[in-house]
Amino acid sequence: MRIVRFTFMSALLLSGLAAASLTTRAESASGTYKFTVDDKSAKYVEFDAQRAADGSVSGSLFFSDEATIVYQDVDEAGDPREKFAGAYIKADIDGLVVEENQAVMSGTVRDSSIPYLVGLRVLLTVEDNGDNTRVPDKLTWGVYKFIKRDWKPSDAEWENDPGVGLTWWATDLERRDDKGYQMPRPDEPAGTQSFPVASYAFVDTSDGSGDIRVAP
Amino acid sequence: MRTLSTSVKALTCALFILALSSLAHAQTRTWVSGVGDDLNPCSRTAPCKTFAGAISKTSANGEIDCLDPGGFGTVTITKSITIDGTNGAGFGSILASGTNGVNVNDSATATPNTIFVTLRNLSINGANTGFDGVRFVSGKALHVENCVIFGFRGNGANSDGIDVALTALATGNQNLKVKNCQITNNTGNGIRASNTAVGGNVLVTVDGSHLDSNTNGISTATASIVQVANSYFTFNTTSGLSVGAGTTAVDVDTSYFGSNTNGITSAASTTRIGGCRISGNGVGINFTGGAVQSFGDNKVKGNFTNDQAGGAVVSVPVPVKI
Repeated sequence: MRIVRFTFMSALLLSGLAAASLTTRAESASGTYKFTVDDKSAKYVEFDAQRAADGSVSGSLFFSDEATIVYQDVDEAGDPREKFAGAYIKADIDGLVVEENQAVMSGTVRDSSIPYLVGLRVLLTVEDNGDNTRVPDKLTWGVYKFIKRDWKPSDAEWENDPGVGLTWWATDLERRDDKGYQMPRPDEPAGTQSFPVASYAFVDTSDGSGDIRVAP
Repeated sequence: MRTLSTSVKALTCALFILALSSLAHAQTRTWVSGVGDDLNPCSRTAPCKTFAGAISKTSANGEIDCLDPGGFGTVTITKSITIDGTNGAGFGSILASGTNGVNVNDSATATPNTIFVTLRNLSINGANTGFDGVRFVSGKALHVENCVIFGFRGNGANSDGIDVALTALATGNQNLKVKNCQITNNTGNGIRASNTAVGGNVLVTVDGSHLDSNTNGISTATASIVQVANSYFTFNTTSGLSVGAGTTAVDVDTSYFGSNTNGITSAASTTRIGGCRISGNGVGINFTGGAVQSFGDNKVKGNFTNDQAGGAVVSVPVPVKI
């Protein structure tokens, strides 16, 4: 009887652990946040990203901005200009990196009120400061075009010049923790590894409201 | 007493923390990039596409920098700010077809004529159809440094490289500083200085600059005090320097006037020159009014029609020797 009871308890414990391991997410980030920056226009972000047991990342991102966005044709005659009174993007998340209370998410824009943005890559970086009211949760974002650079500067007067990569490092010397990153960015879509986490500068969300949750 | 002291300390600490907090949160430096987007927050990792898009996200007294070379569009500035095209990786550029490149105008703000604007390391191209490269309508000070301003030809004689057209009521003087700039190929003036606002003069200093192929290199008008040093005035179709009605005073030191129709045209006020070379112009110094005074160390020779016409240069009455 004692053996049966021990076996039963062991089985129960193991099944519980197995179930827990199946339902526990390795990493996740989610939240909603409404805030403004210096332009005083309301912005809102809603996101939910999680890493599955097989390592894949899924989730969704919605971002809206009430600011008027004006697209100048800066490389031609300056016209035509397009003006959008506010904008939103919806993206599928496919990448997630979590470092302590910070998370970087990457995705592809699937829908937007600005047609040009559909298909671009988007990064959302957040910092979860819990219920600490003196330090609000923080975030920053970015949309990124895919850049294909298939040229390399070389010296035409030097027959054997292999060419050089015209690159430089964008570093912020005012921030000791900044590792910097290479410019121009490599010929690959923007992702969670495009920039070191320390290089992101969060926007001022001191007037924001909402909750950001990051689970390592 | 001890209680009061503790309260004062606590208040001081709170104010200090508040001040630090506001410093930390202000977006004082923003970025633009050729591959940026104005939906972005204009941070280094997510730069904006245009100066106009970045300026609304930059706090007053902040700075917009260029992450890489590119064209970043025309912009209207209504608050104190620095726009720096940088020059490590290229040059920030503004293409202004059929419009002004940069407008500086704080007249619609609660505190007009108070902003301090710096434009540095920029190429401002009018593409032959632009109106003014930089139009300074209202503000306290405008500094233009290491810039190239050219091709503003879309509004005839009113297309200036830098047009100081102060009209808003001001208290005290307003300033324009131009240093190490090339201002060329504009159908108006390289620099036009005028202050029709009631209240003060516009003080203009030009140093180390080259003003060529404009109608006038510099044209001075109402309530302007202009000081020029170490600069070149060449190929201007009317005058290298035109001193017009209402000008308060002009001083030019160690500069070269060559290959203009007129090196200097004096129509009003007093122009003092020292250490200048005036050669190869149609007329060296053309008098239609006003006076030109010399410190006695200028070289005026080799002008095609006359070295002086319509009058004569006189000595500065009482040179101050110290």
